[in-house]
Amino acid sequence: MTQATGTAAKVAAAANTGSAPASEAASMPDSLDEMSQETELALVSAARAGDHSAFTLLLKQHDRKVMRVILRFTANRYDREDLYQNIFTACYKALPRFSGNCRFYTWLYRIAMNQCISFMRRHRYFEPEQDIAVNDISRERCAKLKAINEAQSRLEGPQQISFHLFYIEGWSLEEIANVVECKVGSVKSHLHRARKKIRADHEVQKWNIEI
Amino acid sequence: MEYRNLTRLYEGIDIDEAELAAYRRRFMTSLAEGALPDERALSVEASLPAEASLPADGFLPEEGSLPAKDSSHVPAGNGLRAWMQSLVVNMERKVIWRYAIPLVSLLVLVGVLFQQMRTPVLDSIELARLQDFVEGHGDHTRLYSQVRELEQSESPVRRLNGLFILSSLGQDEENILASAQGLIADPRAEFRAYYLEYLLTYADEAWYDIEYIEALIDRETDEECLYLLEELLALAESRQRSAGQVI
Repeated sequence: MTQATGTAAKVAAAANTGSAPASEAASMPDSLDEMSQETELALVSAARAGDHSAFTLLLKQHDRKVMRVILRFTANRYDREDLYQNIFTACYKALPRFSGNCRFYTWLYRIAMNQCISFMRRHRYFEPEQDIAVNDISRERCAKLKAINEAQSRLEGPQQISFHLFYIEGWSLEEIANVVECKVGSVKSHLHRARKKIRADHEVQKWNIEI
Repeated sequence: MEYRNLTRLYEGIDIDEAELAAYRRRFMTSLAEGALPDERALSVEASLPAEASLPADGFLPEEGSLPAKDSSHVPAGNGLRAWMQSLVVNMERKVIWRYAIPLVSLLVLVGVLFQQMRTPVLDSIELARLQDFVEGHGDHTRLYSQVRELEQSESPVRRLNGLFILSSLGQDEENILASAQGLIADPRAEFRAYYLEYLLTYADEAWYDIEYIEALIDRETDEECLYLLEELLALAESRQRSAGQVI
């Protein structure tokens, strides 16, 4: 364990071009913006060996991006905290399976999406935008987000997932078909029906949201 | 593209640093307190080749797929889990699978048998058997009276059987209505597809409620039935349009 912590410290030092130990580096926000793939792989390797501080560095590097994904799925404070914990727990558990064939964040993003889609399946409905704590967004944009989220909440399971993944996450029809476990034609049908319902929504029309 | 507007709507949405830091702290605490899988198990997993357990599609299972190597932390009272874990302690991976596959097969078999016991009679009846029954009872007058008894029965299974037979007996309003009722009763996908094909066949002779078909589409999960419902919806809409009605 001591040896592993030493690895993380060296990696952190290399990434920071300084000599801060891993525990200190972990408390430094935005200090690893330009982390190289080699550094990242070294951190993954240290984290696999049980070095918590190495995993902390990886988490600090990527958790804000992960949170942006979570926020597109739910604005409810309790749900987003649960999702955050679930995603990083799943990531920690699956770390030994990370082969290093892609960037760490690409792999983490898939875990995050997997967890978010499972969350959407379990909850069936989106939580309304009650307590979104977003920075610097206009009142109009906030109202539009609320309108879209509430309109989405009225869609049924496969329509809701298809709509979200296509229009908000920008996934392809084939990717969605794989997740929803149906044919591409069915995804088109789900999207068509979802679009029709969202467009007919009073609040969506009021805010002139184009879909 | 139009949908880019929607993507833009979500751009730049963030939470403040304090909230994120609180989430991090909570996760770190769980990590430090060992609420996550113990490090020994993690090290054992790390020593396995990555390819051994990487899912083909890159998507990870919702729960950790490896059983714990150490059963000492299993809470008392969780008998099945403890037994499962004791089964795999100190075993090679291949040996685990040698036991796991028959065990899973056995559990599936028990599950299927249990399901069979709980399944209503209709679910165990083959569609073809019901059709043979209708064909074998050419005397429709007598059959009609028996079917009406079934249809009015308190038992949901008898009622569904009655509706099915009634829909198979002809193409009058009564038969079409029986098909629609059968469909709404939501039997197995095989039966829903039968009813939908029936309703499609006689779509020119009946007025179908568009809103109801849309509601059925929303809850439909079967590929074939979804396709048939879309067809039915298109036919119903076209029929209403041609009749000059407002849809």
